[in-house]
Amino acid sequence: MIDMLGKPVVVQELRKWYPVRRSVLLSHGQQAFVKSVDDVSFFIEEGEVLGLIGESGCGKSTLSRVLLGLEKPTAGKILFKGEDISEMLKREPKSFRRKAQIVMQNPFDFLDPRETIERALSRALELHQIGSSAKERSEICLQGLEGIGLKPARSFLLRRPRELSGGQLQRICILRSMLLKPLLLVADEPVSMLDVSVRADVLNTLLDLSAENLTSILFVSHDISVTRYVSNRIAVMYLGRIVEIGNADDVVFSPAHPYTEALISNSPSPDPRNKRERITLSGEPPTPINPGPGCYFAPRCFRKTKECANLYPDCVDLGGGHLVWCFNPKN
Amino acid sequence: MKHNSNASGKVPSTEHAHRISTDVWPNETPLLSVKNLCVDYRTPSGLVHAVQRVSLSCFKGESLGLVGESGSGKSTLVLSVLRLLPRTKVIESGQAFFKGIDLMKSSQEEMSRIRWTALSIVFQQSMNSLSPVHKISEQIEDVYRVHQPEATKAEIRAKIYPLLEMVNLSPRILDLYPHELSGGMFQRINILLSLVHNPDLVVLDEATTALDVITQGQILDELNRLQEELGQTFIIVTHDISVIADLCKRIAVMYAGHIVEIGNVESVLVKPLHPYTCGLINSIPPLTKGRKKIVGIQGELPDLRQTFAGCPFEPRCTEAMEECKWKLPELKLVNVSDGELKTEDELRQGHFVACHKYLGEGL
Repeated sequence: MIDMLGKPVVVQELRKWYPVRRSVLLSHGQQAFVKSVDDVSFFIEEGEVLGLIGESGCGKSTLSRVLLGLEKPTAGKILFKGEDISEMLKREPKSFRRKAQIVMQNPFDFLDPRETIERALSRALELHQIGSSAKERSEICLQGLEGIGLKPARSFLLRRPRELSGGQLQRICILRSMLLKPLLLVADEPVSMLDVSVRADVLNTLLDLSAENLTSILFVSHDISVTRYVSNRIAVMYLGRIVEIGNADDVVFSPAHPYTEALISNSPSPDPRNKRERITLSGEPPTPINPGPGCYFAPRCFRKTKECANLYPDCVDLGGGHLVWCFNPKN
Repeated sequence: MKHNSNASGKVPSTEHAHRISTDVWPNETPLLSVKNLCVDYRTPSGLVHAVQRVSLSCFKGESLGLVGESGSGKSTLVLSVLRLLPRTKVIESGQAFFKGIDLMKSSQEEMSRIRWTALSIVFQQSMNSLSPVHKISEQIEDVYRVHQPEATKAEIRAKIYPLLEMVNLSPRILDLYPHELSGGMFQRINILLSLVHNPDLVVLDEATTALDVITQGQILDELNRLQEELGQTFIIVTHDISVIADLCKRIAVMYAGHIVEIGNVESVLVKPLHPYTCGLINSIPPLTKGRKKIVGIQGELPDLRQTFAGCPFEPRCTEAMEECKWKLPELKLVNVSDGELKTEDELRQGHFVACHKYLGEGL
């Protein structure tokens, strides 16, 4: 086992189950659960970007909410530099917030429309007592804006959100989180609302600031090509469980789990010469209410065998940190 | 090798191109031919010129993709052609010939007859296009009876079943209510609804945008099958170039209400000519090849209340010249192949671009 305690962000056997009202599902008097996040373990290195992909409803967003301390896990631990975050939240909630930041999908909802950019940025600094005076904080904001290429920075300070484009606003949101030098930044679909031509700047800003501040990033997205562009490693989630994790190129070029294979074969390419054979999965993802006992993906799987229906597969190590939870991984 | 001047310079020349236009091919009339279409929105702060003098055509069996970013006017263009924009809010001018009828001059009655039977549309917000309190079967029957009031239930079912199979739905869903369906099933029902009267042309406005990757892949496969088996023609409006690369034969790129480039999908996406198209393609990270740093397009969409003297893309263009500031570039045919354009098939591949960088023949 790798030395987990030294890593900035470690997640151990994390579970987030939501109880279902009994009247909805009568399952022999037993309590039913929506297993949004089920037995998830991973770590993120310093300054590393971990991409998280999966279809809607697979638990990506729940996982990020639990990581940020916005939801209490049902079981399992989240460690920041070896320290349990539930302890940190109890002891010093503010210092925990500084360590765990988020960038959301819609930048227009993230900033107060009445506040200037300077106010929005310096308030984050003020709350966490960074910079001793208003002047110093304003200076930090100026440098930050220049650093992400919004020039002339001074004119941006006085503008309000409506005077900026979506791409610029999103970069400012990223900057605001990054000014606090967090340990972990969760970027939840940060470019899916933006036009293609401005996405590149937002992604590059994210990468630059992560490298500069050595922040670990969890990049949540459903767009595989964007995820591969920013991520060092990629984790694939299906019905609350991670089914495959590994170096970005390993996962994209030699996916071992049938679900990853299907995802990648279905993501369209902008090059008309590059028409791939799509793997068709039957049906839609089933509900995460009491799945199992076998592999959750088995009902839709094109490589399923007898054992898949009875037992959830163990982790298979393919080397180089490439892990897959499948009885019949592709080599 | 025929004598041509193409070998000398990088800029493709059109010396040998025949004098043709984007919308008139010899021997064939297009299914839909839009000419000089302008759409202005009335707003409290003045007129917004959403679509400016757009001409394009779509041929039977050759699906056309319309790509552009938000605010480029792609949706306005198709909604205007379908006459779905509120009359009091817009000023429309130009022509849109569809099977010999000018849609822009048609009365409401004529339009109602054409919609569904000859021309139909599928929207992105598909959940909103079904009634939540009626079963799917009732809603399909309703739509069917608009144009064939006499149809019996049995007739309608006979018509629906093969279509259900086409879009990969089980007949079971006919007895369900909309809330029991997933996003992918919704979109399939809407595609089915758009096909019940065998229309000549189906417009898909961001129809796969809100779907998951795998569901989108399945629907793209189904649309491809409809094209092959029924010869169905689509106009696909999207911001996602990949969807067009997958489905369409021809592509038109829109920017700030103008068409800046139009041509065969392979030609435009593999060898883009307009700096905007190049920028758009360069900002998509590749999935198959090695990693390269992607760069976006600097600047932002111009205010559409102005009328452009020059090229609308000039302020953001890295290759802008003096001319671009004061002269609006017209779409012109550029010969990208090495040889002479000759056969009709080659003419079809015609690649048109509105940029002063290229020498070419005007319309």
